[in-house]
Amino acid sequence: MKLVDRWGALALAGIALMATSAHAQIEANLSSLEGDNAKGYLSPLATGLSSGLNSGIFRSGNVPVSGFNFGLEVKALLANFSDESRVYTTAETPGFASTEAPTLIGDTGGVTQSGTGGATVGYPGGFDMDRFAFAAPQLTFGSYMGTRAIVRFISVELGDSDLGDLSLFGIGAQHSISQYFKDLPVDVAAGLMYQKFKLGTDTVKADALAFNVTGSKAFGGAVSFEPYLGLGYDSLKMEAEYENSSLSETLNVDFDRQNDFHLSVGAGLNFPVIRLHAEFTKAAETGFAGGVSFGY
Amino acid sequence: MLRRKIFIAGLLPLLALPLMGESCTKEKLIFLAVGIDTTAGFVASGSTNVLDDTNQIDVKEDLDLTGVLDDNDIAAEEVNSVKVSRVYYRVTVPEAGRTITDGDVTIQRNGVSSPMALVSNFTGDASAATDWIEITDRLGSGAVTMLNTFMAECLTEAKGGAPVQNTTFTYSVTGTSNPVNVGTNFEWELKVSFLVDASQTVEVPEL
Repeated sequence: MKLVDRWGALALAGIALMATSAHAQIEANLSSLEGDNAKGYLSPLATGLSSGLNSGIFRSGNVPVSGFNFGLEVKALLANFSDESRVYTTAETPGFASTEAPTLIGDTGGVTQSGTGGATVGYPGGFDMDRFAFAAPQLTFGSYMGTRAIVRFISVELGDSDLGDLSLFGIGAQHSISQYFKDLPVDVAAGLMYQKFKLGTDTVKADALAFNVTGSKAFGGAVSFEPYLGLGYDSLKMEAEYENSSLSETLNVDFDRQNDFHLSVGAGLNFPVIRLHAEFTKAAETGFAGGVSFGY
Repeated sequence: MLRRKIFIAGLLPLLALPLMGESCTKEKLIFLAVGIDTTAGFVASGSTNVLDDTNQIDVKEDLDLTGVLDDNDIAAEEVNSVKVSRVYYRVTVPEAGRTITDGDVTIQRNGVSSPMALVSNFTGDASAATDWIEITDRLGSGAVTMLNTFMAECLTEAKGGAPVQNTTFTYSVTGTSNPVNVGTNFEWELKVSFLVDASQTVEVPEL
């Protein structure tokens, strides 16, 4: 059960995901929770994933109408959790009133509660996390009729039962709107991205869909400064599956679909071949995203 | 030009490193709660209109606390307590229109205690097969205390202390199956789960 430092393995794979290091503990903690309480315990993961997966995808409204271009990028996102998401209210059950308990990101100390006849129930502690960090490689290539494709793919087999596997696959596209309006003062493009995330042996699965319109304008020549504004809509569906040790049964927990407007304000610094960008994000959680891109 | 681009692409994993946040770790205490299945020890079935079934079980053997802790990678030294947590019932073989009323389950630690009410005045619908239904609100405090004391002794043994004596329990199920003037044919089960309080030191990365 004890965790070891796996950051090295994660780095080699090209991904860091804060929550993954807590995976083994997540399964252990979930094992004592039943449906509604498991949902409450994991709820910050849904908002963290929604922000994490759907940020930093689109950094420019400039999509060439034609010609070959590609970029190999590393995206990083930091989402800050609100204080309210550190606790949840447990479900009232026969023999036990509802109470307040830590979520996945809450205090590490668990909560015990006495009920009818002196029965005792326990709600596990969290991992005392203020932030959710996510990094992933991304490949973009185009253009065909003002459209470029975006692909993300990671599969990390960490090789022991503590952590299990982690995988992320994403596919999307960004289409130039500017090509239809010759006099627009800024470059505008609309983007759509679908991503599938999986942690552990089906412990946590999520599907994310992001729609975004990005406007940007580059100032300069070979080296340019490119501020951008993105408006979008994120949708994420998450489910968890785990073995409940009390009931000796596999429980499936379906989370309500998480829908959020997505605002990103950022800027890019474009050099020949290398491009840097950073942005502020307001979505399911507030955070920052950034990235390095290599391409032309 | 092409060679240069390939070279840069090959550097990507290295360039990813500084984007991945701090790799430092920090010791934290995590509280774990683990339920234990005791279904095999608390099975009762009713085939007459008036239930009256008495059986004996070895709770230590059925619970296998050491095995449960091993399965969950918990050392006995990390466990603070093992206590009764929840009680459930489920109908495994249903009978249309059948209900159980005035159900009582008593339990006695042989050679140590007299029979004590574990579940009192239990009422259940046996007309359809069910998932586990919680009836913790029917628990009796005397039986809970007795079982908690027994589990504390088992934990002491698991930590290298004195072996537990008197590990056999007798449980008795009584109640009425309704309607009373019609022959019955159904089965139901009772389950008691326990909470294991444990403290572990784990390494949790932080940004």
